[in-house]
Parts: sequence; structure tokens; C-alpha cells
Amino acid sequence: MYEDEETGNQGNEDDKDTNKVSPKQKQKKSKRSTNAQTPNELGAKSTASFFTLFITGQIVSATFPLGPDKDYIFCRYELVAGPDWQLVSGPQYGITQMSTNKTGHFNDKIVFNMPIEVTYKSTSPFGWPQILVSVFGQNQTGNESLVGYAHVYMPIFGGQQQLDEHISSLNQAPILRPKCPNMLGDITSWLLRRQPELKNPKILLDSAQSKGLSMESYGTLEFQLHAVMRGARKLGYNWHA
Amino acid sequence: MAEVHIIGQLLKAVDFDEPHLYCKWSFQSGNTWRLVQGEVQGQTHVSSHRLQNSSDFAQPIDIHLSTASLQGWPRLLVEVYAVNVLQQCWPVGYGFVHLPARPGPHRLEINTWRIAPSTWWQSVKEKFGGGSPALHKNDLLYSGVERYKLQTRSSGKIIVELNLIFRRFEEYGVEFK
Repeated sequence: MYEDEETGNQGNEDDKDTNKVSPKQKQKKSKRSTNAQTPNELGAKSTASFFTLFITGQIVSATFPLGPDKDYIFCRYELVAGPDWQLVSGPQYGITQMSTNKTGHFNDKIVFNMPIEVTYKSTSPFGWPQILVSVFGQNQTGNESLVGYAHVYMPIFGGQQQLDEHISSLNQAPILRPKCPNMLGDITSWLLRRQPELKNPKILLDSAQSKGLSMESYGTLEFQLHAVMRGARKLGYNWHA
Repeated sequence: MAEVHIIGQLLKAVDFDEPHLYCKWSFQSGNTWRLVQGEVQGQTHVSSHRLQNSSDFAQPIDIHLSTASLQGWPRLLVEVYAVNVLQQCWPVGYGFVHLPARPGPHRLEINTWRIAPSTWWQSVKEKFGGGSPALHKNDLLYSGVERYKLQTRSSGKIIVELNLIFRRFEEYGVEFK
């Protein structure tokens, strides 16, 4: 009797009694498949409507050719993406540690080594995610003021593919600092030793709102980013020829 | 309808004589191309570099176009303007480039030209940062029809990094090598 029940449960194609068993097994199967989809395993079928983008990398360092005029530098980053994009996992905001190069040469790299690991889900490549970094510095008296802004797109074709030794393996973005619009602002910022900041740095990412701003670029921020995509080819996208 | 995504950055302007520059860019394409999402034109902020003779814009470009035909492949037009201390601006470079015809990452360098000064007074004004002549109608930039008798001089370069993603071109029989 015990053995018959076992075979009845397992071989559900032969017996007529398995009509009672099969709905339970179907429920069990559906529960199992939803559990498999949420941690996004490779075994789960990719549904045909969206693709996922896995981004890993780091903010490596900042380089200032004649040295930053500050003692300690730190960065605050924010990930910005279009309306079709949804952040599945990973932090959208972050602050790095405060790093310095005053014990070494003035134009040494200031290393942050800040990890960035996020996952996005989207239905269209429009509004591809970007990372917007605000670089701040602290001078000897402890005042923090802005050093500049830098932003890059997340890599679209997987990340750095170096075929040439002359191209560095780091993704370099210029650090842009807003300038005061008039001379009174220049004098005030020199007296108070604070640079002007943008109220909303996201206007640098929008071509319609950045008209009329005056910026100065000095220094570069280096990133090392890699991207893996899943499910885009099924939607018909052609990433490579 | 086949679709094209253009995602990238207008990186910088190099080798111009003037330090404070901004760039007006626009994408132009034929009649069969339609804009789905994004903005096809824009203007960067004014930028200068503290040490080198270049201007970093790093302006993001994100455009989604759909097309029914291959004619009128999109072009990127740039006009570079210089600004002086008195907030006057004048054009110092015109240029355009066609979008590359294969998907993938591309780094484009747009060589620009400016109108050469034709009188002695104009060349003095140009040297002392007062201004230089501008084109009256902009369609000279991308059509070769009426360029005769225009005297121009070479100007700097604009560097653009664009990533192109194509969609559904194979359904219409188009192959990219």
C-alpha cells in the first residue's frame, strides 16, 4: 500500500487517480518557478518583455595635474536612469571615504576604490543609466566645498575592450566645476573660500537645461566599469554586427 | 519599423584658438526617420580648461529613432561658438559627421571649419577677440550645393563618443558587416 502511494505520486502520467495528485503538484511547480525567478538565476527563462543589465566596477581614483587645493577629497555618487529603467538591486546613492595624497607627490592619484554593483531592468535602451559623481574636498580648516562634477554612461558594450596599449584601461571623465556668473560672486567665493555648487547637479545630464552655465574643467575621475546584459537579443537588439 | 538608439557623449573640443567655447549640436535625418524619444538638438554649457587648450563638455546624448528606409541616414551637426569676457559670442567652427553604419562603440572626430576673414578689418577683429562672420543660413553645413565662393579656414576638432544599437534591421533584410 505504501509503495502504491509512492508510485502514484511520482508516475502521474499513467494512473487515473493522479487527477487528484496533479493539481497539487502543479501548485508546487508554480511556487517553485516563482521562487526561481526572483533571485534571477540563469536557469529561469528570461521573459520576453524586458532585459537585465548587471553592472560591476569601481570608482578608481581622481587625478589632478597640479594637485587639488584641498587636503582630503571624497565623492558622492548617484545613479540616474530614464523612466523605463528600474533598479533591481544595489544602492542608488553612495559616499566614498575621504582620501588624500598630501603625504606623497602633489599630482599623485587619489585612490578611492569605491565599488559599484547594481542591477537594472528595462524594456528599452533609452535612458541608459549614468553615474553622476560630485567630488568634494575638505581643506585644512575643516571646511568642505565642491571640487567638481563628473558623469559617465554605464558601459553599453560590456566594458573596456583594449586592443591598443595607448588607450588606458580606465574610463576617464573630466571633473567640471561651475564658475561664478559675475565678478561679485568670484570675490565672495574667494573671501569665504567656498566654491559655488549646483542646486541640482542633474541638469548637467540634460542638454536642454545646461545652456548658459559656465564650467571649468580640471582633473579627471577614473572609473573601471563592466556590464553584462541578459535578454536583449530576444527583443531584437543588435549589439554587435 | 527598424529602430536606432544613439547613446553617448559629446566629449570635448580641442585645438581651437579661443578658450571659452560652447557647442550647439543637432541630429538631422531624412523624411522617413521619426524621433521616438529623446532630443535631437541641444546646447552645451560654456567650458574651458585650466591648463590645456581644450574644452570639456561631456554632454550626454540619448536618442531613439525609428525608420522605414535607409535613405537620409542621420548626421550630427555641430556649431562651436566662442564667448568673451563681455559675454559676446560668435561662431568659431562648423562641422558635421554622418553616423557610422554599424552597431557598436565609436569615437568620432569632427573636423570643423570657420569663415575666413575677407577684409583687413575683419582679421584685426578676429585677432583681438571681437568676433568673426557667421553663416546666414545653416543648410550650407550639410549640403554641398552652394558652397562655391565661400572662403573658409580650418578650425579645431570636436570629439564625440557614440554607441549605436540597432533593432529589427534583419527583418527588413539589412545586414551589417
